[in-house]
Amino acid sequence: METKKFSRGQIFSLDFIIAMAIVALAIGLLLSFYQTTAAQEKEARVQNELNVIALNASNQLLEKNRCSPAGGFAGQGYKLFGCLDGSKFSSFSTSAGLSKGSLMIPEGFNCYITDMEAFGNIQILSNICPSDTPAGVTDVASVERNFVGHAGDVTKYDYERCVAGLYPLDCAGAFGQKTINVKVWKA
Amino acid sequence: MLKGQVSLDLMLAIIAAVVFFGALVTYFDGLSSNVQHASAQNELKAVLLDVYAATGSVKAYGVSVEYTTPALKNSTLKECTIDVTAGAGGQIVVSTASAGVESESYENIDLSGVQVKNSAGAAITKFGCGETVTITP
Repeated sequence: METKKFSRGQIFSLDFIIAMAIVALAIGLLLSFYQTTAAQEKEARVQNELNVIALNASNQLLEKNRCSPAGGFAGQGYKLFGCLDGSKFSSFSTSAGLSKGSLMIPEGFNCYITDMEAFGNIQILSNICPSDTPAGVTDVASVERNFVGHAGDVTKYDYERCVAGLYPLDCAGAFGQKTINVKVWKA
Repeated sequence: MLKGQVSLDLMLAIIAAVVFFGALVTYFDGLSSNVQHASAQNELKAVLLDVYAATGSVKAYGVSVEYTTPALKNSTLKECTIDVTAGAGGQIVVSTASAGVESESYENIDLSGVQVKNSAGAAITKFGCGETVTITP
């Protein structure tokens, strides 16, 4: 059977049009993949930066206000990591000279800090971190830190009883397990 | 078609292909330049974040740290410099002499008491990427 392959005046063959469409589609897919990957990488970088800043801010908050060892205990080189002196901490609910800078939260970043256990998830440090994450902000780092709260210096006896897991027998009233939540996002 | 005749289809296809690939090369040149710039900027940011985290640990835990800053991997970047300004309104700035790459910084962070010392023990404020320094609280 004879078929007519080309007509007079024909500019493009169907083959050619299909081939070009496939090439355009393939390049489009490639660019779309590249764009998606680049966006995901950027998102991961931003999130990583926020995580580091939030973690560092929580470190500054907890470790700069660490419980001090009492009496002879102080001279033995102990540092009570993870124990927050409530008497120092409570002063932070007001201005008390504290700033975002002292938590090492750089300019251009915002924060919101809540005490999740002691007072039932209430906001603290409202003078420096006044409001929660605004609607529409998607990149937010949220760090929860557990710690032991104690008002005033800690004796070696009390500390060792708590570390040994005898809480709350010997620590009732003096110690409390608490959690703070630090949120950071880009302004 | 006659023997030896080049079809109009083929000629048009070649012309279209040349124009298309020309445009594609131009596009990828721009894209490549953007990617290089973003990559350089990201590398400076990564150095900044590393120095920030190390300084934060020093300040929080009150310990001295012998710290080696990350070295640059991006071959297009010239040497980078880290500038740590102590004090209540302190800042950490990572910059490079490479053209078109802006410096990255964290400003208004409290670095009171934080001191950077070189291997000879002298207090310094500027040091290079890949250099080992001691950060003290």
